[in-house]
Amino acid sequence: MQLAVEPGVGARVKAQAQHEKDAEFEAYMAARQPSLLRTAYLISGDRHTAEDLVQTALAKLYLSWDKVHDRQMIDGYVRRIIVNEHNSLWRRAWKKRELATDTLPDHQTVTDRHDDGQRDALWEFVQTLPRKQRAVIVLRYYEDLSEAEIAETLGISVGTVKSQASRALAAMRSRVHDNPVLAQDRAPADRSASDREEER
Amino acid sequence: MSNHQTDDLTRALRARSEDMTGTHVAFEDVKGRARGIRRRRRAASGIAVAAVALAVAVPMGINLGGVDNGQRPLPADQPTTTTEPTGPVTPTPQGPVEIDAAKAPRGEDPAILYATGTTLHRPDGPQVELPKQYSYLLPYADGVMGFYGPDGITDFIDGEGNLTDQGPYTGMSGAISSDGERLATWVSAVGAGGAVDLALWPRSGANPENGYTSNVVAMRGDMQLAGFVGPETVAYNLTVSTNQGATQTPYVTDWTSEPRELTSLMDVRGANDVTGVVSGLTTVDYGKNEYCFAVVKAVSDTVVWDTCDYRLGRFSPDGKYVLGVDPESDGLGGKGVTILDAETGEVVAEFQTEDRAFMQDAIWESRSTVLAPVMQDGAWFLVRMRPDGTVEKALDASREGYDDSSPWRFQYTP
Repeated sequence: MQLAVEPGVGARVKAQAQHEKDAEFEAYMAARQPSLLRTAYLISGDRHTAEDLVQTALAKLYLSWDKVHDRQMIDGYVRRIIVNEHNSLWRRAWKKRELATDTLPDHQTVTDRHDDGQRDALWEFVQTLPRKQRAVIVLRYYEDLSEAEIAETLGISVGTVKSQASRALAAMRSRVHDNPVLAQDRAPADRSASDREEER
Repeated sequence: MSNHQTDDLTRALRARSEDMTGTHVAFEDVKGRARGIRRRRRAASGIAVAAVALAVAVPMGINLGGVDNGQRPLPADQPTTTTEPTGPVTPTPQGPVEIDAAKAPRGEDPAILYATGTTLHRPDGPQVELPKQYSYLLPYADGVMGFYGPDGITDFIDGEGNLTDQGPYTGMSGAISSDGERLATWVSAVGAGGAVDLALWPRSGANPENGYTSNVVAMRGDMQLAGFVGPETVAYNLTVSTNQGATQTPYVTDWTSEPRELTSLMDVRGANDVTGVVSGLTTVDYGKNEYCFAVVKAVSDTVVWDTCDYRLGRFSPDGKYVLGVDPESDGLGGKGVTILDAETGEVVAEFQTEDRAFMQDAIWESRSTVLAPVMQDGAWFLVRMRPDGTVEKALDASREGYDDSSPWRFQYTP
């Protein structure tokens, strides 16, 4: 008769620990993945790239799962990986010494009948922004992060966050003035308020 | 910019983000990619070579307690009084030195400036209280220059911690020559994106005019200084963003002539003014997730040697060694650091943290010692490593700081 060989205590404990880690990680994935995918999409402008960024970010998080002691920091950590990974993608263009954005990423424009295409125009504008400005804008106006949180995520100073956001918004303002679709529903009161803010 | 416009922007982003509704990344796919990353990390770090267990190291193993909750008592450390190697030496060709930071012997305190919070620690004087917490420090006169992110202003602080002056926008980038006599900073009166002015400061603070000699090297852009490559010559990256895209270009310049582009590199990460070389990125193959680096002669812009196994960084002050880090460092840090011969690229010593620990940016403390923060078991350790393979702690363990950020802020080093 052949005796069944039971795994050692160490192996069982190891397997149990791995199981618990996977369960905890899957729970995090289930809860946060939709949000991470949306953020990655807004940063990259491409669905497949977004999925790839999130998969890589989650893989790196999985490898680091035991090292992250403060679970409240995980979202920030993953956002940082997504931004860094996207920057790595961008680095491939360094050798070409340019990153062409004259041609917008291929996607089907869907005009929202409720806003006469304004959202599409704003989205297309966001896609023309330089990499860092775009990340700042997405984290500030989509993720609603503070300037300090954005600085931490992007590894830049708060001053740089402010200057990047300011430049992006100035460019957007210019587009608003240039683009009647964007400018058409601005009330006179809004315009003067905007101008006053500009003067400040 | 009115609230109306930023609200529109927020609504536009939220609406567009719905494009991702229904997409899903499977857990098994994530685990599969994690396995691939781990394989590449191990291949690159040489972990396949049999690691040699040291008296200062423990074998890799499973922590049966699961995730440390940060409540484990910290080991009591008793500083030794010697700067000589205190740990056993491992012949590095046999494999990486495995670091158990908790068990490493305690050596002397760091021989460079560093701050914990608002307290400045000086190797040659008493600690002083700074006006605020700075992100970066440069030794200057008998005190420091402190770079602080939110306002972008350089604070000048004397040896007693008093704020004596405030300078122009720094761009949070600085460098110091290997002899410690000269400093370089990025100065811009209008902040990031404005004219890029490179400032040369005598460390002694003895310039009677405005304190520095300056040279406008570009009309706009963001500068990242890599270091000195000659007595009064520096290497830096200049990033210029426009609505048509962004470019990053490495340059070498002094304070008298036009900047010269380093065409053999995509960026520059380290520089040495004794040997006149720089390190930096040469190629990226994102499909293979492969990053290649090289040591380059700054004068001739020619490659001395290159590697795709390490991400090259800082040189030792005498230019003899260069640091290589994990090619797969993530947002927290890497698994270790390697000291390479700067002339040949041969591995001199390789250090690897425990399985559940990680190491952040390593800096040269002297021509033969490297310091790096290591997070292990929920505590931060400052580890000192030497080319002979020895390891020790340079400070007592700390539970201050964050999981992804150590409590110590070090001065810029050569």
